[in-house]
Amino acid sequence: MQDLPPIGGYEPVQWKRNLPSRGFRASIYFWGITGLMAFGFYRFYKGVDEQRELSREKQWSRFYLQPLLLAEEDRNVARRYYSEKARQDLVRESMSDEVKAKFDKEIYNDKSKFRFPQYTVGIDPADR
Amino acid sequence: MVLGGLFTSRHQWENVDNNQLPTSIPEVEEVGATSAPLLAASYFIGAQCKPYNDDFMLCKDENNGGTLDCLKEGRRVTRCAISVLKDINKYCFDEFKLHYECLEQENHRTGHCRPSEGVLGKCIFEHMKLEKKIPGVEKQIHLNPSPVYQGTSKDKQKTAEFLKAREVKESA
Repeated sequence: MQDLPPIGGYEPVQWKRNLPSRGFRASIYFWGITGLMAFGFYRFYKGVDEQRELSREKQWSRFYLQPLLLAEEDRNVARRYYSEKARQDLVRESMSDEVKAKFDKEIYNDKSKFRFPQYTVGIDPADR
Repeated sequence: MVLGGLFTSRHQWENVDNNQLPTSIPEVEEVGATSAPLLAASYFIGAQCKPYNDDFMLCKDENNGGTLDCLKEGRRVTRCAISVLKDINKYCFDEFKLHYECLEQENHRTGHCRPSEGVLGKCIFEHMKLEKKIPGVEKQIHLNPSPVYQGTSKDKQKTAEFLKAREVKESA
C-alpha cells in the first residue's frame, strides 16, 4: 500500500520569502541622500566664504582705526618719556660729581637711532 | 571706622597722572569713544581720513617707530577722526546710536547688525557722502541680501521700530 498525491497534485510550496518591501526604491534613497549632502556642502562652503568676508570686514575696520589708536598711545608714551626725563634731570641736580659722571655716560655706543629707555629687574651687568 | 578701612593701604591712590606732556607739544583733544562707536564709525573714519592716516603710518615707518617724531601727524589723525565722529553725531546721531548699541549687544559681530548698519550707511551717505567699502573684494559682505549667518532678529526688529517711530515723527 502506498500513499499517493491527492487528486490534482499538491499545493505549490512557498519557497520564496514574502515580506512586504518597505520604503522607496533604493535609487531614490541614494539620490535623495546625495542631493541632501550636496546641498549641505554647498551651504557649508557658502558659510565658510562668508566667515572669511566677515573677518576681512573686521580686519579692515581695525586697520582704519589703528592710526588713531596708535596716535593716542604714542602721545601717552611720549608723555611718560618726557616726564621721566624731567624727573631724572631733577634727581641729577642733587648728585655728586662722581655719580653724575656715571649717570651722564651714554648707554648705547650706536647713536644712529633713538631708543626708549628699557627697564629690567636684575643685577647691574657691571657688578656681576 | 569700617572694618575694611583697617586693611587698606595707608596710601591714597588715584587714577590721575600729574605728569602732563611738555608745553612745547601742542595739546589735542582725545577721541574718547569706546569700542562699539569706533567700530561703527571705522569705515567712515577710514574713508575720510585716509591721507592723514597714511601720512602718519608712513612717518612711523620711516622713523623707526617714530613715537616722538610723529606726534604732529598723530595730532592730525586724531583731529580728523574727531571731526568725522562729530559730523556723524551732528547728522546721524540716532542712527549711529541704534547701530553701535546693536554692536555692543551682539558682541561686536557686524554680521548680526546689518539692518541698523544699512540705515546708518544711508544716512551718512546722504549727509556726508561717505560710503563703507571693504577693500580687496568685489562682493561686499555688508550688502549681501541673504547671508548664511544672520544672527538674531533683534536688530531687525529694533530697526523696524526705529524707522516706524521716525515715520510717525515726520508725518506729525
